[in-house]
Amino acid sequence: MSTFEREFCAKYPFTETARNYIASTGFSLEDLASGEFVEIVERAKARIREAIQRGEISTFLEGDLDVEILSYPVALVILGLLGEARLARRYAVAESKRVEELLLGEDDDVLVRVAEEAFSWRLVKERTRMGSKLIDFCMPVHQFIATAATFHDPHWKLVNKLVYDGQVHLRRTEVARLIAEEVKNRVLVRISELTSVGGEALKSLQPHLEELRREASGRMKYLELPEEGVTSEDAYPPCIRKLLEDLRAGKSLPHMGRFALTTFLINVGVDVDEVVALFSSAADFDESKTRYQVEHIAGLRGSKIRYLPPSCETLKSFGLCVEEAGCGNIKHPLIYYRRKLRKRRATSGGTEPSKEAV
Amino acid sequence: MEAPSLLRKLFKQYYDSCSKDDFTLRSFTEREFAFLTFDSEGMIRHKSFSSPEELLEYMRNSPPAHVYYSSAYYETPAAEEMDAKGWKGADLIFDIDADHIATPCKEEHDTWKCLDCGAEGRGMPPESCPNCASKKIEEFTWMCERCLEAAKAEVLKLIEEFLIPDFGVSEKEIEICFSGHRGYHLHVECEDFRHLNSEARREIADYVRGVGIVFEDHGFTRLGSTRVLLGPSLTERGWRGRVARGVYTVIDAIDMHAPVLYMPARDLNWLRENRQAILEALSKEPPFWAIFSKLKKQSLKELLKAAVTQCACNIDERVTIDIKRLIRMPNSLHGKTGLKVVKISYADLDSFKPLKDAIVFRKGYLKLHVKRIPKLRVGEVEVGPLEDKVVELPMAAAVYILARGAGEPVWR
Ligand code: SF4
Ligand SMILES: [Zn+2]
Ligand SMILES: [Zn+2]
Repeated sequence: MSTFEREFCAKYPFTETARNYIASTGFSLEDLASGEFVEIVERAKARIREAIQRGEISTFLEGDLDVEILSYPVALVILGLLGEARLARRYAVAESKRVEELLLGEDDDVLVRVAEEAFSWRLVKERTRMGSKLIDFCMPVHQFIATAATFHDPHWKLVNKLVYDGQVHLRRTEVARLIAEEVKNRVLVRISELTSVGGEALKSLQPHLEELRREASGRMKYLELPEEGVTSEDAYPPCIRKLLEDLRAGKSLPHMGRFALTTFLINVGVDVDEVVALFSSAADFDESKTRYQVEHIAGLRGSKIRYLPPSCETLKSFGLCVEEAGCGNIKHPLIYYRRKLRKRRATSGGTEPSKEAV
Repeated sequence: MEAPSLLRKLFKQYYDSCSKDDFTLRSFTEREFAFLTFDSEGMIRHKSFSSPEELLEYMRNSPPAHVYYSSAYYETPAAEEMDAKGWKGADLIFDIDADHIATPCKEEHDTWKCLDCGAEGRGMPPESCPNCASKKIEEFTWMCERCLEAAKAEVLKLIEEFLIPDFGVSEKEIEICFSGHRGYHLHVECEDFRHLNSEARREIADYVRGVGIVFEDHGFTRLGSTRVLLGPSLTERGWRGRVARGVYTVIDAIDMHAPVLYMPARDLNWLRENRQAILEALSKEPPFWAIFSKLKKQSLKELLKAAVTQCACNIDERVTIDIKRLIRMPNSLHGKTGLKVVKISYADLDSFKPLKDAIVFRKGYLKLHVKRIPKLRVGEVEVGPLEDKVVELPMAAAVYILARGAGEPVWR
């Protein structure tokens, strides 16, 4: 394969060309145990580290391109084994930023190629006049909304785009952003699927996992809680208190409400049994089903990823935020909780009695 | 014989006369079916059938009052737990119902009653009782030609203004059904939309309803830092041109729209007095939106909003967003009217007359005691208003009144 093509693979390792290339090298995860591939593992770790520290990932085209290309799937495997949802997200966001920046510097044809190869998007270069401006691309409505529906910015709503003949017309910067968003989604899905590898490979990766886990927890403390197992219900944000109240009053919560409440409680250290017991007052309670779901969210099952509660923005869009004006400049319910606890500890000299959540 | 058992008997006669070809569906075996019966309250759910014959056989053996199928395709449609069904995709569906369209005639034929305090009223039922704020409102709604025409106009708008030009759906991918009561369902039989989740479908629903429009995104901006307004032309595609045409329509019929335009009298008068000049300015290429520079910012926004309302399509968005909806089965009977759920092609929609073409029970007469009905038209017959009267009516009208629960058969 030409250097140009291998560079393409290094930049966009999630495309079909890259996947085929990786397959053609005969590389398999089991090889990681052999020590021959230290460089790849190190580069994979560097990717993750950069994501942890700067929230970004650089593309390294000066060294061995094969190392660069193969470090991508290896990084995903490592993240899968780590099973840290927070870290996975941070990594996915960093990958998507990396891709967006690269795409902005590419020719139009490369954008079309990446979209087609990575997601089978029928992105087309087509100049359209929109008022006094020209827009360069269009793509089918259904493919656009499948990704863009998760954006909360009103400018991304379909109703605010130029749509006709089944095509949404998009600017170049929008196309790069949309591709990047879908990269983020796919990276997260991929990480959640990669939760086990063969014994030998796992053994050789183990020390790296420990190392990264330590680094990550040091760096990403901002979402970590002050003390585990101590929960203080009156430090919960209003949205969560409302959900608890409704649940205790025997109301049935919407899906998103259940998810927000469960993830919040698990993340502030309430244990699974308590959460399950809490739901037992709901009219549609089914113990085994609820337990399964709660354990899943707690990262004890399936993907082994512990989920975080949704952000204030997401809660708002689902109508679950109860503070019209928001809670100060808080962007996440867990941050609300942490600040509140900290403030309280500062004023009460750290002798806050712990209260049961349930 | 009481009304329900009489209806059950008539419905059975209908299903006996049907053929299996009346009940074909795409991906038949992947659908869940559900029924409501004449003699019990609960819904029979999680049924699946291997073929239309089998379904027809079932309906002949226990004639249902209502028959539904799932818009979704499932791995195991008969599984009782929603999660165990294995969702594979769902049709894209639009529901247009006269219930959601404010027609003036509702004052004549619809009434409601608060079940808590007994307050009553005419026209569209309020969300909560104006007297005691209770949400327990019972509605008495009736089919009427004008309401059904309004619903049909909305269906045509959906197809001709949105589905074909904007979404690029072809005529043959559109299937229309008269619901058997006050509205229409529209299915888009296009593979592309089948796997979309509800968030993505919400984008489609919001698009046709014009929800969340940001006017700046459609070319309504100021020139540099001046107050001079720029905007799209009438001929542009998508919502850009639609808003422009909407403004044109509102100005054109300004006297009709004036009562709902919330702006200072000064601005409203200016629009009235300059109607002709504005229409000309908007028809120019490029259009001269700067003519509106005299208007207060808020008034202009109000005008644009009125244009969107004018052009938006009045669908029930919940149906479009729901990826596990139960939909009335084509060619089945509606248990609350006795009318048939009729499939109509786009080409035939214009000439379709629901109150004639959906009638099944055409033969014979029935004597019944009518409790209370407004003026009604079923088929060729016009009846009512009637209260506490025994009358003999052609079968279709009689069945309709019985099914609405507004009468009982009288046997000599
Ligand atoms: S702003 Fe955030 S934390 Fe505060 S109530 Fe709303 S969702 Fe909850
Ligand atoms: Zn009342
Ligand atoms: Zn009417």
